Amino acid sequence: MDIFANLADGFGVALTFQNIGLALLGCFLGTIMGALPGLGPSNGVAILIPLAFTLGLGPTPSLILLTSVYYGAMYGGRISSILLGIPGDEPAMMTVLDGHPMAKKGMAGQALSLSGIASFVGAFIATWGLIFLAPQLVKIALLFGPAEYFALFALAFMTLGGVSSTNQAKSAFAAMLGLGLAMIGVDTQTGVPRFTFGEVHLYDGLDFLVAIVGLFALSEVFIFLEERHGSSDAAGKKLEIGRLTPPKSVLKACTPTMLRTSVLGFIAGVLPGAGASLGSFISYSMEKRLVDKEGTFGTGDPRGVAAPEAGNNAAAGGALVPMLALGVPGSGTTAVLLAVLLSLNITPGPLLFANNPDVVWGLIAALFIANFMLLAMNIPMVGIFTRVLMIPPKVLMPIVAMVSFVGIYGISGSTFDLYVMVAFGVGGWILRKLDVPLVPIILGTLLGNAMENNLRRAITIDDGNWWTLVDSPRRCSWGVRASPATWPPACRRPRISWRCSPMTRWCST
Amino acid sequence: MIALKPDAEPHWPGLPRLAELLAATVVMLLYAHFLPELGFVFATAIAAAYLSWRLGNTILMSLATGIGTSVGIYVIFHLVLGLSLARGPLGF
Repeated sequence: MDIFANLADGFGVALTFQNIGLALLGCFLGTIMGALPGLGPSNGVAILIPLAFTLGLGPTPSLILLTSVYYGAMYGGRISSILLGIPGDEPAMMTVLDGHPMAKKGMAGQALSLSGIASFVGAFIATWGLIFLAPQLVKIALLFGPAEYFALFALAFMTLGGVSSTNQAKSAFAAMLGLGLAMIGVDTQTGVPRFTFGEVHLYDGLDFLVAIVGLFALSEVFIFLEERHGSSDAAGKKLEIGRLTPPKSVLKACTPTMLRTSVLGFIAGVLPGAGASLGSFISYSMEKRLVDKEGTFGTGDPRGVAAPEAGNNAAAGGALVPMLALGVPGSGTTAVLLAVLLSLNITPGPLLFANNPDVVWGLIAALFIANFMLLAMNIPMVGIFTRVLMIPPKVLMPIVAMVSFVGIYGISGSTFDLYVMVAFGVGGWILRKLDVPLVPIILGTLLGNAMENNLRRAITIDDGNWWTLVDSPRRCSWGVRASPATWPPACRRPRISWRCSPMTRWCST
Repeated sequence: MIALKPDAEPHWPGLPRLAELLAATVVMLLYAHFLPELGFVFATAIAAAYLSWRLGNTILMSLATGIGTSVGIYVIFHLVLGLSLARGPLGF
């Protein structure tokens, strides 16, 4: 079983004081980010990317820090869902349905600990899924040539664009915008500068980290400024927690639910583009259909709390599979993580497993460690995080803005990057107002160059024959799978629109 | 199918709010411009205080937020983590 040998090596990498410390820090910060309405996993990770760089961390420690933030945010989202009835981030939206009624009945503590356990089960199962599925996917991916990669990238755009938005035209527009932004800079194959307007700073292309921080973090500040929504949602409310341990009977009743939804969530996460929000949504609906015989879902049924939490955490783990094995992110946050990898000069994909096994297995081991830490943090210490909810945005948002500036300035030390970031912040605000999803833009800027290079390589290999893109069954099947992915969401996508602050809807997974 | 389902028109803020956003953008651009000249601590304190004030804090509280944010980031990022921040004429 070389998987276990690899995993043991991974634990060897992850179990250093520095890495454990980073995982602890990441889990803590991530839970806070997740708990605060307005900050979700993608902007949480985006804000902390510069920190990882400026600390001079290597690839493995950076990834450990940031994936701990990612997992932590998944845990944290439930806290404000349950206590305030406002999802802390988008995947936690379904947790509001039963979590908040439970809190109203005075069972907030039980709901919090139960959802913490469900989160743990989901993430734990998904991490095992990652271990077994990713290497299999790598074996397939090794057969891929440039044309297959091009088709795969197209698939990623189609599904991510198709699922992350209710309006496919807008997500297609966003993807095109992203691809266009990726074209800025000197063309790597011919050496011709494109769209640089003679600006030397643009010759390297746009730094996607600048784009990500601007689009996700700064635009959030603008949204708050526009609405002048400066007071905390928790202000004036009394947050009663009550007893923290769920009774054994409740745990027993929820166990099958957790196991089922973990598997379902994991599958949803692996599919490119689906991500954690879909994971929690389908988990909740499936459980409702399966076990809700008395119609108690929606009125504070513990199973209705366990299902979406196990589902979204499992999907978070699942989304790492295509990101690591194929280099194609399965969700918005994994797209941000991909940006980190690329900036560290590590190309995810099949070769990552062959060339940098220490990174992959160290990361996987760190996920296990982070998961246990999160369980420990989120049950006995949940009181600390509930206090975080009291921080009003009028204090929080200036901090978010300033940390973004510091981070970007810390990476490059260039004022030009700060201007670009402000421009992205304003652009992000406008696009949010227009309901254009931001994730396809990030995906476009990230994958644009790789997609272009693969396309050109494929065509060069075949002497300029464009039919090469569709002349093998494998290429065709990716393409065929890509095309319908754009339309079903248009008719199927449920319109989820209950009371949630407009900000939270934006921090997609 | 796409053409058949136009989304609802976005709700654009009125002129005063737009001016507000414009002002914030200008402050951020000025911040970026003056960061290397004023030094991190002063520039950040001013910008953070401005944002906090515009988000509805009282003037005194915003000043406290600005100074707190700036000194807090300076201590954590510069003194503890060793990140190099823009130095002003006074060395911080």
